[in-house]
Amino acid sequence: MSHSSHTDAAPPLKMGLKLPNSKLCMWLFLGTEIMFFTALIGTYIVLRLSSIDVEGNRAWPTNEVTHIVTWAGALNTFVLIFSSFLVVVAHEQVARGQFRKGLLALLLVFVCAVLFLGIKGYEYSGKIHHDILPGRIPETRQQAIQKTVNEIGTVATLNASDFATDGRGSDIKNALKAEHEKLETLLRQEKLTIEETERQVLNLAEDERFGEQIKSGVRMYFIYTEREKEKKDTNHPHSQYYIPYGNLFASCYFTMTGFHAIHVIVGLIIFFFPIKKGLTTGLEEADAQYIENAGLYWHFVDLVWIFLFPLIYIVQF
Amino acid sequence: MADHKSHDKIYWAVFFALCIFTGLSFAADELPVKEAGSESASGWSTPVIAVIVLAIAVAKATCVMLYFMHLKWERGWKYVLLAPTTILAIGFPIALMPDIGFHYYHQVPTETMIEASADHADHADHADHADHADHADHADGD
Repeated sequence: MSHSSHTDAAPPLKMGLKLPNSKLCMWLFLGTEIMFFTALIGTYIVLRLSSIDVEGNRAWPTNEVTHIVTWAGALNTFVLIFSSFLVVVAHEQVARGQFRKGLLALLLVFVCAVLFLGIKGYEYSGKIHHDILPGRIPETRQQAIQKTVNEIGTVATLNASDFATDGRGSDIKNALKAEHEKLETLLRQEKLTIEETERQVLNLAEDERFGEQIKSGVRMYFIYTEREKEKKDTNHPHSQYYIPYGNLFASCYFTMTGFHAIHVIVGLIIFFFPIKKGLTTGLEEADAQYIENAGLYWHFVDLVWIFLFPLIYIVQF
Repeated sequence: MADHKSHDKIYWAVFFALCIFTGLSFAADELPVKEAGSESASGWSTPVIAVIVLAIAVAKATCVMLYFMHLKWERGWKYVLLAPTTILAIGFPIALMPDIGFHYYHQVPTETMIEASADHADHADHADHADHADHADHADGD
């Protein structure tokens, strides 16, 4: 293997930007991510502005009705801003050779991200508890009545043994089926108003044969108890049997915050590697570039949340 | 990586500013909202609150982008990168508005809408979202 004479120095002219390839790549990726989230957020804004009622007034459901917890959103904002700050600190420390401090900052960032996901999980569990989920919210009186009658029918399809274990089960089940048939007939004759439906549900819930099953299987009963609680606490019941534009709200909410949460999880993965390296072999000067790029991604996640928070939790158009 | 003098103090100042902004936007949630239909001067109208809150959001975003993401000290490529995305970000909602945002035709009342508007009348505790919308873009004939 003879070395030929053309292995001399690289040509003096260097093309390209004066920044590392990885950083440029990350910025290009962030550009696409900006477009991704502006698609979601822009659509949400347009849909929200256009959600009006017959008189042209804005009809998007309020935070009370949809059980939006503003303090949780504010806390999440603070957590993400703090973690953004920590990422910058981590990068500075590692670039200066202070590897232990940098590792500590990275660990705190990881903790902040997990905390964010925990608070988000608390919010999501509240939504699930109140059945504020896409496709599950009745939007008119008629839908609420129909859904309630359907749910009573579903309860009537439980096993006989779920009603009573001493052989009376099938009698009880048939009795409930008969009640359901009655309600279906009333519904077809258009005689069921929402007040009447509520009355029927409460009657069925008081029945000691199948009351427990009705209470747990019919959403209207649950909302009724919530309204009673709210009347006692605040004199201003806000839970509703039907929520105009409720499903649109739920879809927008879960799409935007869900994709954001996925990005936070990806951020966890991205930060896992330098943390692992720091805890095992230790960080080096060369890791500063990775941490800078990870930091750029994390700042972007923070940016998205900075816009999501006021648009979902605070503005009232 | 370009060697630059330490920006530590700036980062602390920016973090502090971001906390203040967050507190302000949370406080904006507590502002009294002008009730619909009332002619009284008390309370803030919803578009004004929206503008304030979004202005705070833009200020926070600028802080994060310029300082935490280091763009203040980067070179011209930042414009090449961000200009198309900004154009698309603003253009996209504008493009959608005529299709989804505007309401051109008189609403044909259906049974459900009549119910809904009757419901508006007899539910006094619905008052918080019966705002009068000053839609400049609301091209409804009536």
